[in-house]
Parts: sequence; structure tokens; C-alpha cells
Amino acid sequence: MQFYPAKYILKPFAFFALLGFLHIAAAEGAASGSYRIDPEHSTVLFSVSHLGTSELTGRFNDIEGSFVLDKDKAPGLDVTIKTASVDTNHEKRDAHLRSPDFFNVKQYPVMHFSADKVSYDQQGRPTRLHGKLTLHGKTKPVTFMITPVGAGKDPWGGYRAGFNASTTLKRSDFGMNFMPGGIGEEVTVTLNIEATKE
Amino acid sequence: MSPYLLLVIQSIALPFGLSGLLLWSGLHKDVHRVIGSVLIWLAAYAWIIQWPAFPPGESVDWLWLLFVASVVAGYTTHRRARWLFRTAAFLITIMAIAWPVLHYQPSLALAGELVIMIVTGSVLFSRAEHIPPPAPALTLAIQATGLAIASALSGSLLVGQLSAALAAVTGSYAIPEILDRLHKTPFDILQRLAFLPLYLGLLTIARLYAELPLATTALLLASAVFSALAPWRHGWVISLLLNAGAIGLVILNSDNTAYY
Repeated sequence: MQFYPAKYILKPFAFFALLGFLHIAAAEGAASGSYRIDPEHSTVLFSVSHLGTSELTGRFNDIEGSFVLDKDKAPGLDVTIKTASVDTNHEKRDAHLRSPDFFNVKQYPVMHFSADKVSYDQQGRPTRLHGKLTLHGKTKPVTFMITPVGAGKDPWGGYRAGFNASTTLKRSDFGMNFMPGGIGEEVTVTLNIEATKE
Repeated sequence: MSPYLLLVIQSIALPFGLSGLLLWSGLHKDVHRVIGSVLIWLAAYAWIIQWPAFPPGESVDWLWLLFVASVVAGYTTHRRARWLFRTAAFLITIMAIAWPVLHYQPSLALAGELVIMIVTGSVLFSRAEHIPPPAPALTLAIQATGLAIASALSGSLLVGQLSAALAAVTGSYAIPEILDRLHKTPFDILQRLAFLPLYLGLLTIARLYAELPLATTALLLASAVFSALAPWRHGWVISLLLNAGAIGLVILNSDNTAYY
């Protein structure tokens, strides 16, 4: 049996070294510029009450978008999510969610969030992201609570930044009224975004 | 109240009960029964979808317009004008329902399916006026039940509920048909011609938006065509078998029919 030192020793060290580097970079704040969302390291999660007894969590697997990091400019955050990529780890339930009962993905194949304003705290950290969400053919103002996670150079020579954002929506505001009582009215949406600087 | 009990009340108990009351209330004028049964389905529809958007936004929002237009068409004096009015209303509604899919994912297969649906509807409307089937309420109730179950199993409980409400309204008329051994029916031809376009509209929505498989759709449509073209007294048995086959196909093609 052959022993590969690079695989078993060097890689874990490289991983921890990268984590440390990212942590330092985060403390310094992310670099200004335009970023493109990395769909393979970003997730869009939602959770909703089921029969008032539990929270069911699902995700959307197809996400794309971009944003601008610059305190003097509008965030220009633009996220597009394909509604057919809904995934709750149950194929029949996913088919039901894609149907006219809920997301009606044939008629509304994408949902879209665009942010036009960021609020900052006294230390200059971003706290809220204000924008408009278009879902199920309806556009409503939405505010996400935002938490920057980190930023720094990646091992491939690029530069990355990430943040988490969450909000709570009323599904009836977007015309998704089916099965009130069985399925909760309030839906928590969480964005875990990682993006590469362009 | 359990949400599933609510679904049963909205789509089965209420329309079936009200329709039964209407039938046995002594309203002998056809126009009263037609309008009564139309209102019952519309009430169930409005409750199920939480009131349709106007102007219509989604496919199900168009159904009441199709339904009302089909009823109005029934009161047009000239037979040919009735057929033209009904077919035009059906054509316009089906195109309006299909437009979002045609817009985002146009394909020849989709266009072909729509043409088949519209031509079939047109033929069935003409045929239903000339040669009414012997047990129209029973046949329509079987067809709507088949669509309700197939649709609920394939993806859309909403379309399933709307079809179940249609089955429930017509089902109460099926009981006297069965008691009379299918010799006569209290189900007026105008009722059949109002509910038939609605059934075809629901079938189109289930196919386009609720992932109803092609083979299942074909069997359900074949059941409607068979009952119109072969008006035998016990033709409902064939209709029942075709609908059972359609449901069976959905179950066979589904890797998981578990409750969720």
C-alpha cells in the first residue's frame, strides 16, 4: 500500500492555513469591487411550519447573481433563483411544490431579488439589505438581516467574500395561499452566499 | 380543524351536499338547476383557490371565465352559434392557460397537444348536443374523479381538488341515474355542456402545469371521447376502466406514493 504524504498531511494543513488566512482577511473587511456569486458554494434555504408541529427545511439548487461591495455605491445585489430547482429531499413533495399549488414553476420559472440599499451599524458593518423580491409573479419590498462571514484570497489566486442573510416572508403576500393551516404562513429564507471578485 | 378535513369539505362534502339539496329541492326548471350547479362549483372553486385573481394571473384563474362563457353559450339561440361560441371560448381560454408555457418553453410537441385538446373539445361539444350519452352525470363524475386522483398523485392537490369538486357536483346527479338503471337522467344537456369544457380545461392545466404524464392524459381524454362517441348504456364501464388505467399509470410511474 502506497502512502501519499501530500494527501494525508499537507492537504489538511493547507486547509487550516487557508481558514486562518480567510479569518484574518475577514477581520480586515472585504475588498471593494464587483463580485459574482459562486453557485457551488452558495445556498438558498427556506423553512416553513408543517401542520404546526415542525419546521420543514428545503433549498433551491440553482442560483446565480452578482453584487458590488462599495460603501459609496448601491450594492447592486442581484440574485436569480430557478424555482424548479426546489429540493426538500422528497421527490413527490418537490413535484407538489413545483405545481400551481405553490411555486407554479412553468409560469414563474425564476424568483429574483435585487437590493438597492445597505444599512450599516456604528462600526461600519453592514446589517440590513433592502430590496425587492419577485416571486410567483408578485414583487414586494423585502429586508434581509445580513452578517458578513469572511473574505480573502483563495488558493487559486482569486479573491472571495461571503455573507449570510435571512428574512421572514408571508407567503400569502406573494399569492401562495394554498393549504393555509397545514403549511405555515411565514417562511424563513436564508441566503448563504460566497462570491468571487471579478 | 385538520387541514385535510378542510380539503375534503371544500372539494367533496360541500359541493356534493349542496348539489344534492338542489336536486331534491323541487327546482324543476332546467335554468335554475343549471345556474344552481354552476354556482355551487364556483363557490367551491373560490374557496379552494382563495378567490381567483382578476385579471387572471395563473392558469386556474381562467377557469371561471371559461365556465361562465360555456354557460352563456348554452343560451344562445342558434345551434351553430352555440357551438361556435363554446368552441371560441374554449380555444381562447386554453391558449390563455397555455401561454406562459408556450412563452417560456415553446415546442412542437406542446403545440400538437394543444391542437389535439382544442379539436377534441370542439368535436365533443358538437357531439354532446346531437347525441347525449345515456348517463352523462355518472360518466362525467367518473372522468372528473379519475382526473382528481391522477392529478393529486402526480403533483397538484389544487387541480385535484377542483376536479374533485366537479366530480362531487355531478356525482349527486349520478345517484338518480343509477337508481333509474341509466334509463333517464336529471342532468340537463346544458349542464353537461357547461361542465365538459371545464373538465377539459382542468385536464389541460394538469398536463401543462402539474406534470400529469402524457399517457395518463391520453387515457383520460380517451375516456371523454369514448363516452361521447360510443353512447352505449353501459359505456360508463369502459370509461371507468380507462380512468382506472390512467390512475394506475401514475402509480406505476411513481417511485414513491407515500403521504407527505
